[in-house]
Amino acid sequence: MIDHATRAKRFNADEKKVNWHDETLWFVRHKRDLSSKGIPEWEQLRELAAAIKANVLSHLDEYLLEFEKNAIANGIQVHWAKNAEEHNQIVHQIIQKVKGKKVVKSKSMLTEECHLNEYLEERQIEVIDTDLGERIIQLSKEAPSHIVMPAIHMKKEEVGDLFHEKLGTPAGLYDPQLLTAAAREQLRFRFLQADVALTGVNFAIAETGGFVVCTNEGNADMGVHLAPVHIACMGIEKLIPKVEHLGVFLRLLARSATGQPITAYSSHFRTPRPGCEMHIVLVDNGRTELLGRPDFRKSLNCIRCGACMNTCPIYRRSGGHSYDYTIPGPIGSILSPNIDMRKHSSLPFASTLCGSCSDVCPVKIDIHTQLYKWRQIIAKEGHLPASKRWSMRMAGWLMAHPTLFRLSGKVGRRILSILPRQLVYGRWNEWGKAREMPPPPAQSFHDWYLNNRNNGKK
Amino acid sequence: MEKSKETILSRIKKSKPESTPLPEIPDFAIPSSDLSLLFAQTLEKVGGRVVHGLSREEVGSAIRKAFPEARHCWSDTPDVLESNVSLHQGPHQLENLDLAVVQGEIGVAENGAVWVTEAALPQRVLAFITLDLILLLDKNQIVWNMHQAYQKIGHSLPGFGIFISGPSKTADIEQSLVIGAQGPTSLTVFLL
Repeated sequence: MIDHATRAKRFNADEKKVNWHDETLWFVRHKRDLSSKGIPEWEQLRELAAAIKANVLSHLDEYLLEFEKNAIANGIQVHWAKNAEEHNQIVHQIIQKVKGKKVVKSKSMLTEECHLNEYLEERQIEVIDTDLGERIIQLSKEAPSHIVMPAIHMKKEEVGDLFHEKLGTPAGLYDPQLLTAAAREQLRFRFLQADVALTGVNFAIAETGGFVVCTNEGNADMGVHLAPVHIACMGIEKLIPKVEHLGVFLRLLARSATGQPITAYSSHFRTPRPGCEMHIVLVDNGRTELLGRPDFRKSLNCIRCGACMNTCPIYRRSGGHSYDYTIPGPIGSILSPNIDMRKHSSLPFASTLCGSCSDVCPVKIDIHTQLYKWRQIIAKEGHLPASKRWSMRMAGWLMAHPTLFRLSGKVGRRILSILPRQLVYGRWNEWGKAREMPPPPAQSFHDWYLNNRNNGKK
Repeated sequence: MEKSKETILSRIKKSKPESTPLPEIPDFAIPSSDLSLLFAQTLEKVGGRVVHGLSREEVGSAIRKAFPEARHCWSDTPDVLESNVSLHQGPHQLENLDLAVVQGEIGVAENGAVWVTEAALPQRVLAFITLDLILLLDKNQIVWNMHQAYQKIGHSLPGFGIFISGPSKTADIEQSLVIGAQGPTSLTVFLL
């Protein structure tokens, strides 16, 4: 099992690229700031969004039933999947029933979570991702490294070389405008050929039985209005009670994600086109378990804007792939232990606990508090790596023995200034790998206090 | 999978927190300046064009002047522009559509979005497959924010409705903005 720090080290091998990644995401964060500050009631909107989501979680079963009833009345076919496997089976069955061979898909983090593409491809169904960023990583056979900007880890030269190899664009063509035009032309053809169009869901509305999908490229709409079958896949937490609540969430979503006032397209689907099919797959896949964890259930508020990633000093410098989970960054680090605590045990430690993620979160998830709480659970369940476990145990023992603690401090201060550099910066010194050690102080705080603040009494 | 439905619902019943109330959404302050001006400013920032001050008759010639090369055009308002494509053979027939003129219902000044419903889109794909999109909007139908827009829309949503704010765009390659991703390469809104 490879931990976050090890994968982050790989990403950091190319320092220039890391700096670019860091600055680019910080720029997006900055755009978010400018955009949110233009709305005087921003903080009130965050409060409202969090309160609506809290209400949704406390009545989720009722809203799901209301949604199902209304969706069926609209002519939508509703399916329930308790895990990823069932989700994939359901989608496959729908495609099989209409003898579909070609599927176009707009961005859906849920289908990434369920590894739907691989499942369908193994069954001889062609799946084409149509969001440009998703298409790029599909061609390069990678996972998305960001939920809003899936190919943010790639430079335009890498995309150009990839398109040259896979799409036949001229060698050395690196202009984003021309590369996008090339992808557009090829995707047009795919849209026109598709038997089935798949989308995610940003918000599903209980009172109407309809749902909203947000894109900038228009790719979701190009897919679903051409193909005779539309399958929309959603996690059960995507529900909101009423139409009026869309006002709150659509004001927050794009501003938090990219700094845009709204996405170019916010499509509201309620009924299928005449003579066509529309399906919704409601997926649990660990969400009800998360609902049952009082300290962590608020993470179900997430509307997948990515603001916590853009602001996170760790994410920006370690890249999305270092998390090895569908949703990277701070939010992924609190969602993933619920799915597989052992596998993702290093993620809650991939944080400085600075709290910036919680500050920018449009639905007020207490992300950094949850990171801290997951650390405690992971330690209790015995998933800490041996180095951390033993050093913590040693430190705990030392601090419980004041005389020994003082003595080791004294020895340490003396020895650090004498020892040769190679010894101090040995393999064991995690801190010293990328940083200089602070110079050892002349005396401990304890000694200083006795001399200066204790009226000279020892 | 009927059994899964029961499983999911019973798990939720077991795990859900105590009931909390739904909040009331208050009426937020609205700028006192001209909303159509604010609308135009915002839409231009997101890559759209806004034309105002023309009569219905003048809009037609302005469109022809702005898009002289458009051969395949669709419009449901013949007084503005004549259609020369048929919708009867399904959405795929619109593959080569150059221009679509579509009536919008509501404009939102805070984000430059126009609410369009399937009442104005006899084929839903019209607004996306076209190379260039033109929306007509009554300037008295512009509101400030999304809350007001949804108040106007009401609780019964159409079969399909959409907020369109600017042309199709992407920044997926190195965050550099490219207008014209998978949908229209331009958006012009005529305020009438």
